Amino acid sequence: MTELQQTMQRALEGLVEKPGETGDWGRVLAEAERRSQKAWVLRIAVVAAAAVVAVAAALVSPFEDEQPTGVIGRALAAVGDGPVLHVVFRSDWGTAFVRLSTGEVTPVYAEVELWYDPDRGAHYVTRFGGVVTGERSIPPGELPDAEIRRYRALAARYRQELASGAARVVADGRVGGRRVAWIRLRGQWWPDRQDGVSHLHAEEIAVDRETYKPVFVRQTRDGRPVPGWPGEHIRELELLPSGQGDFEGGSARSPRLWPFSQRFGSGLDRTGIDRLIPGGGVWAGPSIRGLPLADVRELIMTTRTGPTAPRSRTVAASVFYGRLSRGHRDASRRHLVIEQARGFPRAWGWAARGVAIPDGSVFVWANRSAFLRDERRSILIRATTTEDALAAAFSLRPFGTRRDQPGTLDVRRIAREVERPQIPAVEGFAPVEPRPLVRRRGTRIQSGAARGVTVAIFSGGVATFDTTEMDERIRKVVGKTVSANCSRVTNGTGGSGVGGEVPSDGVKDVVLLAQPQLGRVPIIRGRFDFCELATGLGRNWLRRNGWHGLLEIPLTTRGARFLDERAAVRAARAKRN
Amino acid sequence: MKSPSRADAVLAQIEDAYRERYPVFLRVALAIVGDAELARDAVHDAFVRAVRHRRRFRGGPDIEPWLWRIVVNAARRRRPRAAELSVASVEIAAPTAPLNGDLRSLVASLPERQRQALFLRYYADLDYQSIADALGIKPGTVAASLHGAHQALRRRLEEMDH
Repeated sequence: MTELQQTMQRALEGLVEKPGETGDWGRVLAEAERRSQKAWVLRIAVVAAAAVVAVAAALVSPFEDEQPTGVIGRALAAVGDGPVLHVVFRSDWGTAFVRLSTGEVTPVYAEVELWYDPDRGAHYVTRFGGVVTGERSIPPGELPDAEIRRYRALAARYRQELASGAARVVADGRVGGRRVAWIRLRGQWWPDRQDGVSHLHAEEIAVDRETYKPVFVRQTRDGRPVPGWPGEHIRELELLPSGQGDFEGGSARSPRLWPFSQRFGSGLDRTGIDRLIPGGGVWAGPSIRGLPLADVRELIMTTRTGPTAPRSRTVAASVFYGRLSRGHRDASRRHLVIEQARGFPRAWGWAARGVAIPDGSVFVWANRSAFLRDERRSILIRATTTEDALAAAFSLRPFGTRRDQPGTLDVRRIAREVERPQIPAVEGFAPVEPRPLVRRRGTRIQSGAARGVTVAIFSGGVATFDTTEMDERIRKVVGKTVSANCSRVTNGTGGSGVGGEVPSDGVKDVVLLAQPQLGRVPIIRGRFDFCELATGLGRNWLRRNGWHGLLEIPLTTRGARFLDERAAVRAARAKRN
Repeated sequence: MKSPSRADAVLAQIEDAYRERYPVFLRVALAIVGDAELARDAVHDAFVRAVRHRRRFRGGPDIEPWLWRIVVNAARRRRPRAAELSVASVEIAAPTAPLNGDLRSLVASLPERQRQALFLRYYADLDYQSIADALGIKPGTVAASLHGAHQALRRRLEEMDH
């Protein structure tokens, strides 16, 4: 850019104020929708008028109510528009009941139900296997839990974006065999410096093709599934008229995860187990699926309900199948543990979650544990595979006795059924291509070089580093990549910089990204005062280089002055110390 | 599975441009119409038109020139007749800059095409081709317009030196 152009740019910069406003995209969409409808109405008015006259003359019945059309319109009508929110969401916790006699698997779901009314507060119920495990009533005006806020925000966003036209139908698909249409709520493009592109992160809601009610919500990245987040089944999501809803009910905490410690006690024989466990202890035989019985001893568990509450001590019997290493249980290799105790130890609260286990069934977690209980005792099985845990549950019998006949149940099949995701199979995705972080590199506005490294800054917010001719002495002390930074001097005392990693022998464009602000990561455009490659090469590096960094590239007079002054300050500080 | 339509893809591009570059669109519109409220209306109206007529976008690597054309036209339509040379009445951000008073009158005296090319070049950071697309002229005409504006500025600066 010539000097004249620079003068022009500086002068114009001060001529018209750069607005700080961000606009209102929702208003744009709503207005566009309104105008489109208006134009459509005008276009067909003549034809429609003639048709209406003809049809009206032939009809004796009045016109029917106007029906919503299109997926978005029907979904909007299905969700309602009242002030009372009612949602029921179902999650996959990987749990199931397995009937011991037949191996029949019944999934156990976790559900949350929320009623929310700005005037009446919130009523929040959690259920596990259909049993209420927690209930909270929150008065209006009190800040609800983050979980409640999440559901409330999702419902509000869904309704608002359907109404404004921001929500879009992106794909047809299926959820658990049910035909659905996937509606994408407004996503956000998040820059990812690792792969140099922006990815679209969005929430997508499936609506039933017959009822148009929402049935599933998932997160997507570029329209594809997000690993580790299978989504949630929506049993209900509706906005009811004022006065409706269930706001009766108190507050009951779910069984807490009590802090507890445990240690092993002395070894046990059959008599010792019988003394600890009413009705006698159980085992899975001298070996189970190739794992030999290796150790039986006391397990002493100490729990408390709070920091000042008295301690409670429970002694359980722990039966270990596997290998011993130097006399201790080797849990690093395949093993299986059967722990049994009188009553229901508080320390095992996590295993049961307050769920009512049907008689003759075992409660199995896909995290390779199983739990059984009756009126007098509880049994917890932990293994390295769900198959082993199930096999042990099927083989339990009084300690010291042998099984007459081997079991006939297909343990592998049952384990697979337990581990299969309970969330219904979800089909239908609408992938989008990631976007380049910088669409237009723009013109080169600055450049500089030092010790064989050149840098060029482009108006689009890109810095190109070329290290192919880097000074060999520097290349020897850096790795394959080195961090690069471009900065602006503020108040003459410090710099605010942005940058990334560049190869120590190559050319790379670095997108100049700033810290996230208001949910977005802005690309920094315009002029910089200097660029530099990382120092951090040991405490003597700066001293050996006159207190300058590994590689400093001044781009402006101000930048050069800053680098010199920074080195002088470092030198003075070193001398003082 | 239904893939997203081309219109949806264009809508996403328009939304992205709006969210990322709204202040720039507004600034250029403000420079053209000379009134903040009219400028907001112009940008709003332009994007409403862009959304409604997005199927008319012929495609290409960058949607911005197409959007700029709509925004510039919307701003032109809203420009008050009495303020044909509207830069004189725009909100001045830096009254302490000594060059501003002269520059304001200089820019106001430039032909309309030169002024708009200047705003798109220096406020929107568009290259010659994009400016040409936005104004519906040839890149060579853009170069000539900017050259003319630069020459006028150079003359004014030389006069100030003397």
